[in-house]
Amino acid sequence: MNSPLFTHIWKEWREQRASLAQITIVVAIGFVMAALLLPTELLENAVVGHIAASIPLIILCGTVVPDLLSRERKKGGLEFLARTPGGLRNAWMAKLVFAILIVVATALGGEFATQLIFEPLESVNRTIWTPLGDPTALLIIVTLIVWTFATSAWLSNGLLALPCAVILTMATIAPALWMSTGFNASRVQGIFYALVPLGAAIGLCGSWFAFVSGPRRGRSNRWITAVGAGCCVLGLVPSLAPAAIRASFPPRECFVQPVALNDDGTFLFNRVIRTTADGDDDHVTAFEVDLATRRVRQLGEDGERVAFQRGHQMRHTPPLQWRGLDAQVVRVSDFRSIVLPQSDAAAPRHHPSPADFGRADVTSRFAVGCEGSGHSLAVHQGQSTTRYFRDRSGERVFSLEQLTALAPELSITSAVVTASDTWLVRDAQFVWWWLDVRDGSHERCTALEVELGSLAKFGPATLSGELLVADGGGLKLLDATTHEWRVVEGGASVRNIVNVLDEQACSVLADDAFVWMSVYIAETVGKPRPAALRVDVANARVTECIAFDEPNALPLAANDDGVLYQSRHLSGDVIWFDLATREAHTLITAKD
Amino acid sequence: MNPLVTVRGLSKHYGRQHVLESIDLELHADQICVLLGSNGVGKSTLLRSLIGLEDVKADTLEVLGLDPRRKPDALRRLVGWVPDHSDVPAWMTPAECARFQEHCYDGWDSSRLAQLFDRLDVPTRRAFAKLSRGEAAKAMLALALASRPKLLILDEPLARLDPRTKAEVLACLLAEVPIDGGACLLATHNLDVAVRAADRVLVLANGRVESAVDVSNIDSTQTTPCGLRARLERLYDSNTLEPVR
Repeated sequence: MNSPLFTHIWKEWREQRASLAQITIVVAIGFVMAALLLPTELLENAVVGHIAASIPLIILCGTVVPDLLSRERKKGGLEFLARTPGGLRNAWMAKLVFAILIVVATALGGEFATQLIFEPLESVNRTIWTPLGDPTALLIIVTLIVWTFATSAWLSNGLLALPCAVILTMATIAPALWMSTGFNASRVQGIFYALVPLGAAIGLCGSWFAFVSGPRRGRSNRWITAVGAGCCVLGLVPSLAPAAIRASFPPRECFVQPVALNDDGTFLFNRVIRTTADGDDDHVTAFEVDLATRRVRQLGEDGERVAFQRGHQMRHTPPLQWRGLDAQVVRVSDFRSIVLPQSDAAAPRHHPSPADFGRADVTSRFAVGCEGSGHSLAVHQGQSTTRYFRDRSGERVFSLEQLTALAPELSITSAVVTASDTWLVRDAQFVWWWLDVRDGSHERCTALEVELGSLAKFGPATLSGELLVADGGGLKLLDATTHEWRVVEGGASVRNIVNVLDEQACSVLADDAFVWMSVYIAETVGKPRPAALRVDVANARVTECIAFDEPNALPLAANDDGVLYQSRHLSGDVIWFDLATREAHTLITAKD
Repeated sequence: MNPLVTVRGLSKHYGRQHVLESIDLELHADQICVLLGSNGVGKSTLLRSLIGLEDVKADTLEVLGLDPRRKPDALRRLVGWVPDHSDVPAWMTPAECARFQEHCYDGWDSSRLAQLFDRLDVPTRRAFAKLSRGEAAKAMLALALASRPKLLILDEPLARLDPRTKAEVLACLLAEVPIDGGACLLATHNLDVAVRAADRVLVLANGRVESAVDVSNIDSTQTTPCGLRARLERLYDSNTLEPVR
């Protein structure tokens, strides 16, 4: 205690230590009871873990944090501090420092207890799903705590600080969350999140005026309340102003439309900017990326787009000619044997177009993202769609009708191609079967349960014939040869993936030993975050999980040393993620 | 010699209620000034305004060469303050309070504080919440004197004390103040205290200084303490509806 600040911190410790001890005991008892009484499914649930890790902070926020400032007013200590030289200033700073210290200590304690009870110690990348590892959750909790601290300085009753802080936090965070819906942008969301702490900082200034400046100069309670409340209102401006601006202008969506992967290793895509509600494209620019050198080249002039056409030729077309085509990625050489129907007269929206192409051979140098190793192609003509499946050797091609004819009793609706002759097919009742495409013999796939079968999402297949699949039961490795399956161990990160896996969960690159998967990981609030998982196939374990800050980063293509990602919506960036260094590099920005 | 405290035209009002109006006050070195007045007359407000704890209007407000409205912290380092009740956190002991305050005052004298605690028989290891009113008052006085203040301000320090403790505190006060060229401003409605301690007496009524008696200028051969008390009582009576005896 050799400085006034330390003396004040000591004073806070003396005043709050009983409350802190009580909270610790209550939370510890709560955690032990949870460990003893909650069913395993809940203990393994990421959301429950999130809530559990947040509870100590919330309790702290409702008890000790508002009491730091309000107790001086309530118990008459303000007078003592006011008459002490520098007392109020030092007290305010000490209380802020003390609040930070106890919040950090509580967060770490909550984190530790949660990991201990809600998640086995051997889990991989465990910090992803706790508040400390989730920036959005952390931002919300910190904002709540700051507002609680700020409002308790001028509210007559400290108990009102938490409800007041909840309202202010919602008022500042809600616009940020709103910005993340619809035509949103991770970039804008990032700026927005930066404005939330700015607003809270203004609220803190209000607490300074209310606790230090006002009483030190003998201001009236009315003045203190007015200034404190005024600063809180002012603190809403940084968050609300951009939202108001955003609401005043039409939403703008900027996204990448992948077109083709060439045999020479170039990847072609259009970047589309759309601002109108009816879906018309305002501006299109075509690009070509060399996946090996990462060199980017613009194709044609601004306003021209590149499209895949019959005859496997790339052609620049005037704007809007191909409007309505969804994102398609085609490995040009793979479907030489398929003759696409002539339909020059068809309307652009119904023009024959290859779609839903799966990963290329795992032996190939390049891969494109889509489910499984299914070499499938959907050809649209008019209102009808024909699906083709090609085996790994490329020698046999089946249409869906041909597959169904192999096993008519199954009513096959979908198929996933594996490295062997046994494919995985799904019938109309969402039951998955192993189907031998040589003779039509089939066997029920027990790895994918019926009620979860519709949720199954397929990752990459290895040369050895194993297929990565995720359903509600976890991430699994299915062996197409033996029909056996293994659960991939990966702790909380894997369970989170399963919770949110959707059509965009893609495999990006595979070899026999390790597979990289692009997946989404659940967050407490807001959209799931994309992440790259590295799966050790031999040991059936997730060995690495790298989460991206860009909430809309989707994989486009990959080669041996990196993965090309796009980030959609407002930013429209194209990112190269280096698998060796684990770093993301921006190839194209919205300015290009 | 410049006065230590100069107040001219000091006014304070809460809404439409005027508490102090055009107060003029001067306090010189080595002077003990007693502020007499009944409850609610504005004594505490005036004292608090001298160290910047009240937002007041004044033509001139200078305490120890500083304007309390502009430099309250610098001024508070030079001033000792004894409130009418203990405002120290209840859990704190006098010893802890001393440790807490010693970094805040430039002239803090721990040995002097130890002497004062000893002399006044203050239980230093007992929390303020568990001290009697008299013990708390003595502790507050000792803590205020420990920083060797240039100006000691006491707001009814003897209120609600038993006669024995009152005498003890008053004796200590008279022995210790004023400190080397400093001054003391004491608010009370106890005429006996005023008679014993005051070099100067100000009678506050209706928000104004109604009367001022410079005791040090009265020829001691012409007045006795008893006579002075009677004189103050007359002044006090004439300015208050409820004279305090």
